[in-house]
Amino acid sequence: MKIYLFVSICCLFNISFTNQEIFTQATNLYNAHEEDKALVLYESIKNPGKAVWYNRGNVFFKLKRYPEALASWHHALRYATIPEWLLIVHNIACAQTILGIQQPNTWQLYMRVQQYLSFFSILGLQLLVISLWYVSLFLLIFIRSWRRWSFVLVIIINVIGLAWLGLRYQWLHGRRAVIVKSPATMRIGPGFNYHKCNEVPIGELVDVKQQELGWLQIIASNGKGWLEASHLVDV
Amino acid sequence: MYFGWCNASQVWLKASTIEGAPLQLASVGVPFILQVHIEGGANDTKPPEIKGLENHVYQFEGTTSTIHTVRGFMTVDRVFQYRVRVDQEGVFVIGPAKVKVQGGTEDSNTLTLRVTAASVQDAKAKQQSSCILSVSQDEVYVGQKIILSIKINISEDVQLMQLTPPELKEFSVGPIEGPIVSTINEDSDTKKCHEWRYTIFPKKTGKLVIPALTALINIPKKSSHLDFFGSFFGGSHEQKTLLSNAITVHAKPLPPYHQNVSFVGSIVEFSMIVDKYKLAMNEAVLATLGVQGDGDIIHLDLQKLELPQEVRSYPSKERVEPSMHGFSKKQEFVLQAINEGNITIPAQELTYFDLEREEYKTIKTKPISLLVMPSQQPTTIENVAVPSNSDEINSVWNQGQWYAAPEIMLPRSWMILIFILPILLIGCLQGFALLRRQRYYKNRLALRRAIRQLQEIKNTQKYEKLYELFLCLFATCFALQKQVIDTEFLISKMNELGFSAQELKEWHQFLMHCMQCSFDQQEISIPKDILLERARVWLTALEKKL
Repeated sequence: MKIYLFVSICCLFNISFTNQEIFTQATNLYNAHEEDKALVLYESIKNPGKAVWYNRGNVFFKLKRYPEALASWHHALRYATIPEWLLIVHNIACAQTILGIQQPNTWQLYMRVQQYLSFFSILGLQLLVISLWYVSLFLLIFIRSWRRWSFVLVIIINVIGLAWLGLRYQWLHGRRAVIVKSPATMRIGPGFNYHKCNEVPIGELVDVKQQELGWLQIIASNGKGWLEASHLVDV
Repeated sequence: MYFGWCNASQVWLKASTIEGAPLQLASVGVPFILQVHIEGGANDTKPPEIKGLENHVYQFEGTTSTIHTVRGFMTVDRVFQYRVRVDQEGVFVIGPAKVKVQGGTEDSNTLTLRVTAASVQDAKAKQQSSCILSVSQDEVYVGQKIILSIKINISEDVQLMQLTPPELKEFSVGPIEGPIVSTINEDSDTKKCHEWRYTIFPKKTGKLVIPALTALINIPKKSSHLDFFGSFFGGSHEQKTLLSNAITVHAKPLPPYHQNVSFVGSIVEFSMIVDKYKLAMNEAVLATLGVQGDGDIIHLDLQKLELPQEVRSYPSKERVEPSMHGFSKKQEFVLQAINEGNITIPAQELTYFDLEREEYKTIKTKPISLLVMPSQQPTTIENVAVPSNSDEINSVWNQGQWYAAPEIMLPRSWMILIFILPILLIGCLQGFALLRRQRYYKNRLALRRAIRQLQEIKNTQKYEKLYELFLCLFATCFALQKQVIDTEFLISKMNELGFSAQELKEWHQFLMHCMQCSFDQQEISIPKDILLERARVWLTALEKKL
């Protein structure tokens, strides 16, 4: 109760605690096993970073709200570095085991690829790809004695660089969501008048393709379809 | 000239067949044309209100106007055209049509229309038309299967362009077959027969009309090979609209029965299977309810199951496939037992009207027994316990990025620009090099170089190079070796470039002076700065000609 009062008073009198102070307080509350209060504080942080998302996931986990925990951890994963990645993926695996979710092998491979791609920041990756492109052009123009296979090699290297950049862009800016409400039955179109096609298990991470009048077109492990937006939380 | 509107106007109604002949007798479901002629109206006459038309199916097809001018008075004759269809027998009155013309209201005549049953006209239509509608039975029970056949018989050189689909609002439509194309011999004439077969089921009782449909065909003109322009502008073919007959189906109600009936036809199989009989609590089991038979299987609702309270069901996939006896439908359910022990899924029932025996039948599946074991791994969220070891998940971060750091990256447009830039640069350089090879630009460059050299000569006072300057210029412009060019060549080329005789004479004199400077090293008769000035004048003249 005190914590709700604290947050309300802060809002009422526009007392500006810095986000860092709120973060520290929330973490202390979590360590003192007061998860409810910690969650209120974490949710009050504006423009949260990956540490806030990660800790929120832990709080949800303790509160047995596993789908929300998964959503928060997936959010944290978006900008995670490789060491952070390992911590988050472990937690995700724990929640998925409890929910009985098994993401397909292709998805696991994709996650592994993204883990290694996160070695570079997006700007670093952009500069690397640009340098690669300019060096390739320089070599192609000024080294006349090159043979055909050299051209092919240069093109392949550049395509790999671009694909790497594309995957990274997609990871950072692609829209994904976690199923938080059950039963999540997909339909072939955006509305209840369309046929049902498949059911997506709760807690599964899905790709969101488009949105139409409160319905989202998703790609889940067992197919493609439309689902009511209230069943999903963006990550 | 004075123009005015004639005030006298006349309105009348006219009915004709689709082909344009006066309508004597209308048929149920066969459309006809209704025209409202307004003579002596204005150009902005609004569409008429036709009494009695609202009881029938009609469509406004457009309007035509004809303007007449007689002794300075202008009148407009307008025709409003409607396509009308009457879907019941009887005598109907259409009209009068009320038209507002120049402030007043004009009434037309009325039409009395006698509409007969489609079947009366059917035989006649079959003989005359090459677009035929027919049904397997015209007296059926509601929900009984009917095969509707659409046949279009046309000569082999005639093309079928368009066919309006039948209007089947009062029927549930099943699978559609076709077009099946076959060849028939009719009066020593070979014809192509296009056939579509619709499986339909009446949704309600009473007289149900399947209206006539239209087909658009392309008939080749026989004399088209002589008419070149006609064939070029698409006049080699003539378009014609074929009108079919209409059909009335009498749908009888089913005999009274105390239960809800979900199907009409015959059922050969009704079964339920599960993928496992022994399962853990909360574990999912896949149950498949299957039905096979002849009738409207596609629209048969199998989504409700009779289940005990301990079992939850979630409808899953639905499959319909053609089978030996018509169609088979399989509805899958995901079942979840929430209590342990022996659970029996009771027999599922389906009541239907058997058409062969004309009686109601109830068909049942076999009951299924499931053995539900205690749960080993909880699957529902409510029952999940937090792992006993709280260290199973990694602990929270006490420090870290608690704010969303702005992402530093190059915008996508910049990236594209940076990628394209070298290609653009190379393209521009290549283009410039290509341009340099063009004759005009080659000449311009040679002239520019010559002007630069002239300035050098002026600065260094090496007048002996003046002759060589012109040699080089001509050699570059005419793509020749310097050695093959002499004074005569220079004069002849200047002649070719269109210089006058006087100019040529001066040119010759100028060349002589240059040669003297170059080869003889002797003093010339004119001052050297004047020679340089003349050289500049000649270069300017050449710049215009080359």
